[in-house]
Amino acid sequence: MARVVILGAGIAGHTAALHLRRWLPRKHEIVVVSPNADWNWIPSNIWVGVGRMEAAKVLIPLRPIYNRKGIGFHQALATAIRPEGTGEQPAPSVDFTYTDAEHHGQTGSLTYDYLINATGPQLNFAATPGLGPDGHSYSVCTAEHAVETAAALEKVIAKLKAGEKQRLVIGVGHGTCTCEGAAFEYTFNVEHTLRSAGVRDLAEVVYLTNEHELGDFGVNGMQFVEKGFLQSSRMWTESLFRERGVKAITQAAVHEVMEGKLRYEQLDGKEHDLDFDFAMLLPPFKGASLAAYDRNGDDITSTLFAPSGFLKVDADYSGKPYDEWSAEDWPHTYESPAYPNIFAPGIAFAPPHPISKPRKSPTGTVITPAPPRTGMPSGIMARTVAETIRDRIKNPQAAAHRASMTTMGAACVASAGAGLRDGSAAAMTMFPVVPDPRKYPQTGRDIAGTSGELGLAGHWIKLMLHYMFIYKAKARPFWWLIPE
Amino acid sequence: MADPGVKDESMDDINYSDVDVRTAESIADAPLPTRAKLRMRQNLLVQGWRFASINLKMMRIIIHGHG
Repeated sequence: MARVVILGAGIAGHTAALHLRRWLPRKHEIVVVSPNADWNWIPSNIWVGVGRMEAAKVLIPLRPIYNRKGIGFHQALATAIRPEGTGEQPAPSVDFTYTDAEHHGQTGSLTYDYLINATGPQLNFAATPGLGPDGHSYSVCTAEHAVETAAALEKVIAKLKAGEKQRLVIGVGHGTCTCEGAAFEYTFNVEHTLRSAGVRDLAEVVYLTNEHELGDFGVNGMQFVEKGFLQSSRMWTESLFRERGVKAITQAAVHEVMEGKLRYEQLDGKEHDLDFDFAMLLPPFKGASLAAYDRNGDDITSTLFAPSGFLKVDADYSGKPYDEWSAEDWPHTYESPAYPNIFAPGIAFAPPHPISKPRKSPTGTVITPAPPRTGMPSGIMARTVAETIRDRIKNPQAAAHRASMTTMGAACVASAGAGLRDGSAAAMTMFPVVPDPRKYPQTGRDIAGTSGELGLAGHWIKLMLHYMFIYKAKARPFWWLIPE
Repeated sequence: MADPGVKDESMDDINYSDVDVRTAESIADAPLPTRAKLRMRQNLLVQGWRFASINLKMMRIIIHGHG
């Protein structure tokens, strides 16, 4: 009998848990440890944040699903990994602190044969003074944040209706943020909401980003063919900004958010102040605060984790200069080199370097998007790790399954306004996620697999994905036919 | 049909220059879709076709790119 412990129940953790339970006989134990009671379909938080969807529609209680499927569940925050066990207990184990109402604050520990660290990101609002719901800006990173943001937006609309001009700043709140696509989506959903409310004229919508140019999205932009021309995602994105009258500030690192004002630096080193009436700024991510100890109780956190808190896996972390980066730097198996029974799919693995070209201002401020590794890639990595564990439980010498972001594609549907008849979205596909200039010398990606278009169809696809992935997360009949 | 809440003329009359001149100039140079193009983006028949087409592209990514 083997026990697989999964830390985190987001896209990666939940996907791995469901697949492992489907593949492994019941004599093997699958246990999920997650501080949240619910699974959150984060892409739809955008619609919650503009008041178009209730939070209950993006949240699914985990416990009933795990009870039905025979998966153990501890609503708890993992605090430490002991990959060599302890003096008294030689099996590897993980420590955690319960977060549910019944056991709140109590601690626990579980031994494991295989550990999947799918803890995702820790929202690092503290990286920028004044950033976040406890400061002076809003967020849509969680359903709870999105509900607060929607209420604030409603107040802004009321002021606009009263004839008061308002400036809405939407974007990222630090020079190293990721998920620019989500900030882009929220910008255009807000713009659409303002138009629908008949108050667009008095509103100034400003997109504030750490991208070097619009359309970068943390993946160094894309190139795709339209009407016989190879065009850039920059031109395509700028066209939408022009059409919808949205202003943009690029190459920006927010240094401080104050009441109604923020201060940012651009790549040229100059600092600027920007007043606002409403600000939704995404935070940078860091890894979950997990410590690691060897059998003697000595701290080995830096052996397992990168300084960012993300787990080191089979990637090249030698810190090569930009010109020497290659596709082979990216991980394939998501195994920890220190302890091969520990894996980290999704956001929890430490990327070897950004995908967008790294840049610093003359004052040394890093203004470069961190690489996105959410959604489809996250699910694929989780399934791949689950396949490896499934095989190794049957045969400990089994080779690891492989799925590199340099050989996998991704579909990204960025909503630009909700509505079955008047909605729109940018539907993008890219292959691969991380460019491989050696394999695809022209643009770094396969032109046939990289595309982008705007329209109502994109909204329908986003809505379809919402219902499909919620069905899948609920593990309804034949859920596994829905691909990651 | 004009969108509610938007002045009938293009949004280009908004002054971008007070926030980021370089990006503002780049946006001002971007292609502006015609009204016909905007109508196509919302036309149910055209978008029904695009829906099928984009789904096929996504299936291609899924088949060729899932590891």
